[in-house]
Amino acid sequence: MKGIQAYIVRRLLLLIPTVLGMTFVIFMAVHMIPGDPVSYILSDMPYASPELIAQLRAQLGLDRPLHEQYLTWLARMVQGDWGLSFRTWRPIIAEVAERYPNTVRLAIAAVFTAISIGIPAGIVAAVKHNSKVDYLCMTGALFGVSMPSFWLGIMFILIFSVQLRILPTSGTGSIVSLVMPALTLGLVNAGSIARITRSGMLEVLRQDYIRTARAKGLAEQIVVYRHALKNTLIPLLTMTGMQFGFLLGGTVIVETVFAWPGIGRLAIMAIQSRDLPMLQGCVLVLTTTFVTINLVVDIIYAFIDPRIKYE
Amino acid sequence: MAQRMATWRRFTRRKTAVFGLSVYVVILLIALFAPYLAPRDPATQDVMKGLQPPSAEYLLGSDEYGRDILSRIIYGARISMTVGIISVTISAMIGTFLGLISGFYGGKVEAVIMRIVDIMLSFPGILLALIIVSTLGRDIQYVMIAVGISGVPNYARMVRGAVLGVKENEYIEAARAAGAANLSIIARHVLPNIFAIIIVLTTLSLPGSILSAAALSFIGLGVQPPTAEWGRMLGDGRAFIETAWWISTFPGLMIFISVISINLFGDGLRDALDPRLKT
Repeated sequence: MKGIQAYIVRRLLLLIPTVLGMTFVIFMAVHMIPGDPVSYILSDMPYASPELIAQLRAQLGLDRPLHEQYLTWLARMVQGDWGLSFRTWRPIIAEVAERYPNTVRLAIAAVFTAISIGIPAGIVAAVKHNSKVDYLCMTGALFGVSMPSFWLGIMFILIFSVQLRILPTSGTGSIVSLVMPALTLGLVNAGSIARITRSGMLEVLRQDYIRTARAKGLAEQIVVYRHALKNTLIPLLTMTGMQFGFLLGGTVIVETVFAWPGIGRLAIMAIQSRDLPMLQGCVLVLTTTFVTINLVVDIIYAFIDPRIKYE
Repeated sequence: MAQRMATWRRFTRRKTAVFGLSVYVVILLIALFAPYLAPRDPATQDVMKGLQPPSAEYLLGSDEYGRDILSRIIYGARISMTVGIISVTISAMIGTFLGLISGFYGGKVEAVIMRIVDIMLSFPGILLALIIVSTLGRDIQYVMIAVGISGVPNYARMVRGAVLGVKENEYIEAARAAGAANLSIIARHVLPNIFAIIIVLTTLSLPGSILSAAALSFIGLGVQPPTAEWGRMLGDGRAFIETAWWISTFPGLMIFISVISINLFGDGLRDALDPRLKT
């Protein structure tokens, strides 16, 4: 267990430069946009004197060196002072906190959909390697990985809302309105999960211990589920963790299609109204979530895989 | 040469891969000969004939300004294909360079580059491209840059791994013993040996780049009107989904078809060139 503790500590330490870098990129992205906040604030006063501009710049700390500005900004972000939205003049952190649960709900529902379709399809395809079932599953997976989520979403709206009139077109955060966005995001991601599961299973099924298990006369089901699947699960977990990143990025698009009241939609609205502090907040929350999930996946991985090296 | 023939034979044995390549070539030809193929001008408006369903006059219908969807799809192929190819080229060039020098030189260079790669990979999915576009400005060339940059980390990692493998070979040591300079070793011995991997990676990244670029245009950050582009057409048609399904349906179908054909082609190419890359 000592090894694992050391591994976790090392993994946490490695996170520090990544998070600092990530926040610096977010800070710089907004900083680099032409026209600093002073010109926004003074846009109603075209004849502001150079002294007034200089004074305002000093007040906002814009005359200080970049790294100092970054550290001040970071300290404020950590303390929860994210500033006000340019669009609604409400505290950014409040708006983000309000919408965050909706994005989490969508992401979890989508991951659940993707896994419950992708993993069984991948297993069946591997077990029935080179059969019609395999081709069928892999064609489905190819469709999944090639599908533009925004198109699939619109086609769902066309079928289920416009034609059949059984589901609402846009999101209110309710369970019924969750169905289509979760299905869209889930199906798009199920393809890659099915592919990963299949190739992992195929690899394991070729191993000697599987041949031994079969030679012992074990039932095929026991061989597949007890021996093969168990050994596929570990790489699968890592890949699903990485997949979560694509999925989290995908919420931005899918939330826009279905007007789902989450962080992704908020980020797009922020871009459209050039509400940069708000965009900063949304991106920060999404990246932090992603980095945290990766960390958790890595730690779980360390716990369940006895072969992992801790050095 | 003989090796190339063998690769080609392995590739053509897969019918689906050949099919994918053929469809992709047809789409490229459509893009190339758009002015000869399109029945109408893609930008000409005829408001009296707005929102026409598919008919003999408008094969795939018309949009709210009375523009012909078919002609816009044909011209849109130009933008959508160019954007995909250019952004992949940007990722390939920067990513290969970073992967090469970090894998070859190791040490501090490698540590710094891989830290940057880690930072870039901490942005989920399309988010890095999104924040780059919103910084640079909304236009098609910025979409290419943004999508290109967000593809860099994947290349850098894969190329670095490949270089580490190649570096262990004896011919590298022999070249060094013979007094070859680092740059000449990279150019003569390392690069040719990882070229297959770069080609496969490029083909496999193209669909993702096309999808990301289309997604950014769909949101309204890419091509600005009246230029025809598939993602943008799809996004603009969303407002008319209840009355005019054809505006969104056909451009999306084209994105889907082109991505699926490149995926089929790429999978076949990977198996033919380097079966080890299989995931």
